[in-house]
Amino acid sequence: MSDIENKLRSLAFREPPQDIRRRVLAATPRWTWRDWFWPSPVAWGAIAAVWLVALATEPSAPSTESSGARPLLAIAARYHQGFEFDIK
Amino acid sequence: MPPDLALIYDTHARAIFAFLLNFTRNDADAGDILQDVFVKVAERPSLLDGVKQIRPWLIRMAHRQAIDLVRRRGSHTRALESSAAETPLFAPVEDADGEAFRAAVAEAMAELPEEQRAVVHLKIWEDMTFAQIADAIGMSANTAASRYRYALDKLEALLRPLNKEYQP
Repeated sequence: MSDIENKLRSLAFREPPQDIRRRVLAATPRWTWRDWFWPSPVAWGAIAAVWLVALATEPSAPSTESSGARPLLAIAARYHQGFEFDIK
Repeated sequence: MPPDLALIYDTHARAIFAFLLNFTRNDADAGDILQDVFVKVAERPSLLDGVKQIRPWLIRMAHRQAIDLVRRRGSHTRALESSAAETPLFAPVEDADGEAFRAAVAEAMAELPEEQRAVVHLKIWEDMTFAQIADAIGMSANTAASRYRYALDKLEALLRPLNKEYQP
């Protein structure tokens, strides 16, 4: 690199006006829940499908509760009451 | 996750503004284009999908907008050229010699055609290769190299009286 190139390179340019930064950041779209889901809709859809299948098949699982209509809630209630689960 | 625009702005805005200021030689134009470029990215973050190096991409975008502005203005730009040499390019310094050298460089740069100014800027202040410059501003690498050599010779001739005396 020549002498003139080195001297030119040593010169620092002026900074951009500060208000431009504020205006640019103000133009950023608001973050919504959709943005969380959008990057991987297939993955989220798959998780939702797994949950739906689990909920749909739950009533057919063996249960000691007579109600049977809300087995997950019944299990949770038993857990909170300190009962041991009967895993057989 | 969208890109961190504040980080992108803080990392690149100064360099893009410097390029635009040197290219347009007009404070208001450089500021307007800088804002347009970053607002476009803010509104459509997906523009950056697949972009490996943000700086050359931003320079390409800024250059295109600056060219559009120059074309739209046409002959009016030539009227602005007279005041171009007076547009301060560089951050002010304390010592008189340094200030005089900066003013002389700004004036000498104004003597160059826009495309030569762009090549010189990207080579010297952005340290880009001729291939990168060619890609950023749409010309062949050979053309970029020859424009750079021609522009540098001209700058050297214009700055010769001050260049020998000035030591940063």
